[in-house]
Parts: sequence; C-alpha cells; structure tokens
Amino acid sequence: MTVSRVDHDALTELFNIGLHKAAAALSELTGQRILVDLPRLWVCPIAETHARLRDLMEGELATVHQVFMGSMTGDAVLVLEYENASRLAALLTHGDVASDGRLDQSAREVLAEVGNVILSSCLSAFGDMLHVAVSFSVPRIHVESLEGLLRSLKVEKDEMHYTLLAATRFRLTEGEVGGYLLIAVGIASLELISKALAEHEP
Amino acid sequence: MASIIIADDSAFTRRTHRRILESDGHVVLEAASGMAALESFAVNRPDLLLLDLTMEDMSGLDVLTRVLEMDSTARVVVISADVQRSTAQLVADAGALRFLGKPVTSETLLGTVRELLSEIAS
Amino acid sequence: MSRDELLLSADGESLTVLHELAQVLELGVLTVDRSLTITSCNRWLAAAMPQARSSIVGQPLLTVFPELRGSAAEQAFHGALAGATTVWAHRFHRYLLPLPPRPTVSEGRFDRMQQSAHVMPLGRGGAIEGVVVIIQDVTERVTREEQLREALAQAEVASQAKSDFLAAMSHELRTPLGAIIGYMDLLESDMVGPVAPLQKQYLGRVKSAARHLIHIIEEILTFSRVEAGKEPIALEAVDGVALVQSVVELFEPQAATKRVGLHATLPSAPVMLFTDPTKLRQILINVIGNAMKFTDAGSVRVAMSCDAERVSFGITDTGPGISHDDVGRIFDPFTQLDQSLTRPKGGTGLGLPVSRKLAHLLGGDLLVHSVVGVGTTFTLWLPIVGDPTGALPTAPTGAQAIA
Repeated sequence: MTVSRVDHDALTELFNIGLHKAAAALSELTGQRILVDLPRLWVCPIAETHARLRDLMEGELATVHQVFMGSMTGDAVLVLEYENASRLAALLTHGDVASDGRLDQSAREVLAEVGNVILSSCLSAFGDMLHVAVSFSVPRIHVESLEGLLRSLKVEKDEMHYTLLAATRFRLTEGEVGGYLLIAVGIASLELISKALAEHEP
Repeated sequence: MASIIIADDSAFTRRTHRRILESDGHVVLEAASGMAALESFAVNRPDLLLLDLTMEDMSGLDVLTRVLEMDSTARVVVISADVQRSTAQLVADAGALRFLGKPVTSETLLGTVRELLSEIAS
Repeated sequence: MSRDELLLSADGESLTVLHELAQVLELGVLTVDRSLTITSCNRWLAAAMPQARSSIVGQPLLTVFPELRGSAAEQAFHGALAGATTVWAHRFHRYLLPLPPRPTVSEGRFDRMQQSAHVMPLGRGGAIEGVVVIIQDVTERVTREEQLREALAQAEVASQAKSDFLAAMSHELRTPLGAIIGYMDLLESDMVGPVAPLQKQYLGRVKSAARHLIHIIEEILTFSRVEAGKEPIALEAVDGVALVQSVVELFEPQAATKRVGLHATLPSAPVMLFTDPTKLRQILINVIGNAMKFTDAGSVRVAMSCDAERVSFGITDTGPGISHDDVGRIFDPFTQLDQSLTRPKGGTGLGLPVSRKLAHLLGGDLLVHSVVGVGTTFTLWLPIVGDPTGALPTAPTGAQAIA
C-alpha cells in the first residue's frame, strides 16, 4: 500500500500541528521559547523501517514508548540518539540534569515527561483532526539499541505493520537537538487514517 | 462575500481552508509561498489575507511586515501551528488583526472572517 | 497483564488486586472518583500524611489538599478524567501532593516531600471511573544530587583560587628578582660610574645567585602548576635531533671545566616530533644537568633512538650510582638522597620529579636504572604522533663525539 501525495502532505501537516502543540506545552513547562522544524515524513512497511532508521541514527537510543488504543491502535515512540537525549534534557533544564552527558534517574524522568507531552500532543492532534478516539498507556522510557526498539514495537499480530516516521529538530535559545517520532500501526489503522483524511471536515 | 488569499505551504491546509471559505460564498486565491503571497496581494488587493508563519522561502512575519508597508490598511489574519504565547504577541505587535492557532475549526475561521468584514462595512 | 494494563482496565476484580498490591508498595497510591473525592489511599501514603486515614478517604481531594486548587496538579487530575496520562517529573514540578518531608531523609533541606509521580485515568475510553495517582518519594536522591552539585561548585571555586594564587606568585616573585639582575647589569656596565674589577666580581656572584634563585622559583612554580593540572602544553612539530644537540652544547663548557667526557649518539637524519619543545628542553636540561652534577670523573653519554612508536633519550653517567633502596625515592619531591652527600650540590630536589611529571604530560615517561659504583642511566621516552618523516634507521649511524 503506498501513500498518495495528498495523504503524505496531510500527514505532514498533522505531525506539524501536533509538534507545535507539544512545543507550546513544553514552553509552558520550562519557561523557554521552543521552536520545531516542519517534520520530514516517511511512511513505510515495518520491514523497510529498520533500514530507514539505520540510515538516520546510530548508537544507543533513548526512547519513550506510549501504546495507544481505541479506533486506532499502535505504538508511538519518541526516539533520540543517546547524546541528543542528554542534550535535550540538559537544554530544557538549564543544565540541572544530564550536564555530564549521562542519563541518570532525574534525566530519565525529565525525558519521560517530555516524551509524554510530545507523544500525547501528536496523538491527540491526530485524534482531533480525524475524529478518532484514542487512549494511551503509561509512557515508558528505555535506553536500547535500534534492534531492541524494533523488536519491542507492539502492533497486533498477523497484520501488516506500517510505521509513520517523522524527523524534526527542537530549537531552544541555547541550542538545538534533532529527534524522531515513530508511530507503528497495523494496516487497518493506516486505512482508517487515510479514509479520515479524505473525508476531513474541520 | 469577499476576496481572500490563503498563504500556506501545506497543500492540505490550503485545500481545507478553501473548502470552508467557499462554502460561505467567499472567493479564494491560494499562495504556496511567501513570495507568491506578496505577488498575489500586490496584484489582487484582496479584502483579507490569511497567513501561515512558517513557510519555506520567507518567514510569515516578514511577509506581514511587507504587506503592511505596501498597504497600511491591509487586513491580515495569522493562522499558525506555533501556538506559544510569545509568538501571538510578536504577531500582534507586527500589525496582524487576529491570530488563530491550528487546527482551525470552520466556526472559528468563518466567524473571524465575518467579524472582520463587518468592521469594513461599518 | 502488565501493571499499567491492570490500571487501565480496572474492573471490580482487578481493582481488588490493585488494592492488595498498593498496600505493600514503597510508593504512595491514591485514587479519586469522577468528582475528585478520595476513594482510597494506601498504607505508605497514609503514613506520610499528618491526618488520620479516616479523615482522608471519602473526603474531597481539594479539602484534604487545599493548596491544589487552581494548580497544574489539579489540571492533571482533570486531564486524567478526560483520558490523558500525565508524567510528573520532579525537576519540573518538585512535588504533586503537598506532604511534609520524612524527617530522616531530607536533613531540613526541603519543607515538602520531593516527589515524582504519574497521574492516570482509571478505566478507559467512555468508561473512565476516576483517577489513580502513583507517587515516589525522591527526596533522598534529590538531596544527594544537590549535595554533589554543591561539592562540584566548591571544588571549582578552590581550583580557580589555586590558579589565581599561582599566577600572582609567579608575577610577585619574578618582578623583584628581575629588578635585582637589571640593576646589577647597570652597575657592571660602568654606566653609573667606574666599577673596580673586584667589585665586578662580587656583582657577578650576586647576579649568579639571583639567577639561581629565579631558577629555583621557576622549578617550584612549574611543579605546583603540574601538580594542580594547570600546566598548559603547546604542541608543535620540532626536530628532536636538533633540540637534543642544542641542549648538549649548553653543557660543553661545564664538561670541559670538570674534565668529564660529554658524548652524544644521535640519528644522522632529522626526527620530527609533535610535542612541546619548551618542556622537552626542560626535561633534558634537568636530567643532563643532574648527570653532570653528580659525575666528577668519567663521562656523560646522551643517546637518542627511535622505533615506529617511540623516541627514546638515554642519559648515562659514570657517577656514584643509586642504591636499590634509594632508587624508589628518586622521583619523590623534596627528597634529596643522603643530605651529607648532596648538600654541596645545591638544588631544590624538584628537578627530577618535575621532569617526570612533564614527561607524563607529553604522553611519555622518565625511567631510571642504576648500579652503585658504576653509574646511572635515565631514559626519557615520548610517543611519536603520526608517521616519522621518511625511513628512519633504528640504529643511529655516524656517532658524533663532542669534546
């Protein structure tokens, strides 16, 4: 199943809105001005995802997972390379955590909250725009390898799995960090999204 | 019934907002970039300009400033995904009449347009 | 079922299991219903609260915790009723529920228990029955983190104070000595009036003593700087052979006066090193000078050789040698072996320790091998960074004897 150009553009805009909402929430939380870049989007079957991700990132990854269910089901993940994760945590807390580049307990808590805000904002942007209801699980933070991440993606068995992968940068006054949002869904959910986009009435 | 330019580099957004505005009887022109928005404004002198802030070729704030230089009575509504408070302030200071956060509902969009058009009439 | 799935699909039976679990956790668990009335509170949390459990369960949340009214925490509860999960990181919020700190833990640093928490809906989708809150007491961890930060800040201040002191000392000590030598030069030059030969001789000795004092001060300051880790290194490409040669030539007059042989065996082609030449000179001057000082008869030989990874400088003398017991202390600062023997030689006892530290700074080492009654060999080796230029002979050809 390929995604049409209209769908691609529409999905990009959905992620864009979700990420900006997240930036506004993070801005309230941290008291800093935060800008996000227009995301680059890829939609691909899960088999291709591994190769795509390997091109984009390397080394240990810090990930925040949030499983969602309802009319759409899947796994949403914020993925950051380890160094970027510690830099993001340090930037958002003015160096109070992770200033030595390591993700200790405090830094992980910060990232879990940040990840929760970002993932929830994006998923609810999807939900609102497409008139689908979703509820989320408790977000979990892991430090893992790319293989570990892909193995852990929870999508219903016996279905073709797809991932929506969005790449963006978070820009703060004292620095910027690149990161990825990965939403893994089954084919049923992907078709639902496509249908909802075509019928989209705000 | 008014002439309105929609300036946004997302085709999805332009299509969505066009549908809403045309359903209320307005005439809609699209601009997919900052430069296109300025050209279209200069040529068409619309009643209203709906402007996105983050476009690839120019910042929406630049477009806003230049449009007002061209015509100080220009009516510009900024519609943007960037919903931070500081942004809304910047936009207001630069001379926009309204700031709407994405996603915009059809009620909000039509309501804002009607409000601003009735201000012209009176 | 994982624990969070348990929480999300809380029907009557699983709620019972949840309550059982909650009683034994070292975490606070609180549940409220849709009207934000407290429906349960686990043992840990009840113990952390001043009120009795009976005046908590069944009471409105905002009556038990009036501080929550209008706060971001209250919003989190309403968010959960709408289906959202909130992660409440300590760094952003400090605490969720205002509770007194546990006395043994915070040492008076905080007036509230420091917490991280999760605020989650009970139930799912259209059937959300209430909110469950899980609170972790992170006061101990946060206290330790703050203490560590404070210690680091203090260490930084101390380190800065040391730097400032060394810089000031350097300047304060050199200035008057510079003046002393300067005025001596003026006097010696007859510019302020004629000076008799004997007077010139005395002036010469004063100057010599002043220069010696400067040398000692330099040594002490270098040693302090290296100890404090504040000695900067300036790396550049330099020909090792030429450098050694120039240092050896410095000692020719002294060798001639003492009637001690001074020989250098060096490679015939240049050996490019990427190192700090000033420090390399300093080390060589120290070690060769030391050999010259302790050798009254015989010779001092300087040999330079290199392989693919290292360049080595060997300085061999025919002095009295160092015993097994003493050889271990030779690089200890301020230790001079057997005061009676060395007292006439002078010095601070810092030359060799400083040289070794400088060698380490340059990525190498200074080693000693000695036989009593035969002599001593000091070996300085440095890493060759990158390729040496051209093909180098491993055995030097064309020994050059000096004097």
